[in-house]
Amino acid sequence: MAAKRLRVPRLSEKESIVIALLLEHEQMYGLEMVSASPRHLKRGTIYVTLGRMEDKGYITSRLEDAPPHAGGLPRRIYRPTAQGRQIFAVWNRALTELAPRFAR
Amino acid sequence: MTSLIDRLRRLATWLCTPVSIERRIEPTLADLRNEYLDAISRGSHWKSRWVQATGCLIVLKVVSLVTLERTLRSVTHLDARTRTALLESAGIFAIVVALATVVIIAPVLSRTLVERPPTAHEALYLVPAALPLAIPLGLIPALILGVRERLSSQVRNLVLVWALCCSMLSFANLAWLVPAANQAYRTSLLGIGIEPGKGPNELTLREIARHIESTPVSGPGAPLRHYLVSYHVRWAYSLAPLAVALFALALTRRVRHLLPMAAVTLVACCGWTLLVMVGSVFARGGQLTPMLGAWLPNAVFISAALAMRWTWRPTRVASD
Repeated sequence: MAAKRLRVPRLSEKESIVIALLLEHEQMYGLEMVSASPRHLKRGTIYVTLGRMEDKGYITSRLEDAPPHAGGLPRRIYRPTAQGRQIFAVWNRALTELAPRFAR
Repeated sequence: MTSLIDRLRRLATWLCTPVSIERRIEPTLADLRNEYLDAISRGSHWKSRWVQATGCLIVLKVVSLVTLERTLRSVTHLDARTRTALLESAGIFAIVVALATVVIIAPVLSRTLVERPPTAHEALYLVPAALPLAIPLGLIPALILGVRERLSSQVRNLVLVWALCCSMLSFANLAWLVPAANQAYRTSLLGIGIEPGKGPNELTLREIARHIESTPVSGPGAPLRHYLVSYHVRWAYSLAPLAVALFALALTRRVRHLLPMAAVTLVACCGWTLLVMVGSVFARGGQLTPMLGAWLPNAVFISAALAMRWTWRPTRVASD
């Protein structure tokens, strides 16, 4: 029987930026992340990236208790999971160790 | 503003899964709403309008991305049942398209046999003109017999993507390739290295539209009618794969056993061919308008698909 292919967790550049921001601020909502890193994160794609990261188990989310304005809609607040922190640490270590070797 | 958000939410509900709506669309809508209220509370009406316009575009972009992501996932993550259904359909499609192409080309080639045997090039030049008819004829048995009771929402979406691809290829073929191939065939048949004058079937879609615009309207049987028929036929035949796909998908819900399915497939193929011939002959003869003659097969098949869809009872469908 053929061996089942092992799925290696990956972290794209955007996902890496999101986790770095969440580790720095503990919890944030989408627009806050876009304001914090406008060059890398865009309003039209941030929630697609966040949704995908949630599917992968890197982050978790909840709705905020009350919207900022009367008549507004509650925003979704994101936090990193233990798995997300671990992958971010391993991914960063791999990049730090491997990047200088491939840069030669 | 609330009605705009409701409209965008309705669009998203139609296209996206509940999880995608909860995790991707609702947060975007919440940002849009809160930014708008923030602008209103500050009294900047221009800013609020700007937020409304750009926010609307952003939500549409998110909906498009989510839909694209979902489609790609459904293409790359096929379960065994779906894969078998698609492979069987593709096999039947390839065989029937090849057979139908040969059947369509054969009578034309046999006419050249009177003077000399046709060359391989001449046979190849006729293939593009045969494909727009052969593709719908191939799709009917491929979808009815290949999909059968394995119809699920994933299969349905993939079949529609497949039909859409066939439609786009047919359009490109009819607009540019067929005229060039027809002209090459006629030049080769003449055998003296001089290109004969172009008729309606040898003009590209843009050339034919320009010719129609520059020619004054004439009565039945006038040369313009042939140009009009050729123009409308190209649009209609380009959309034929989608029309027959809708028909076949509606039919797979209704007929469940192989033998009745084979009979229905045969009837549908013969019906399609008959409608194409009747539409074309009547449009050229002036009994039908060029547009009606060209669109007759599509109109009949789409109407039949809609009728089957409306009278369909969900208890008879295979589980998704």
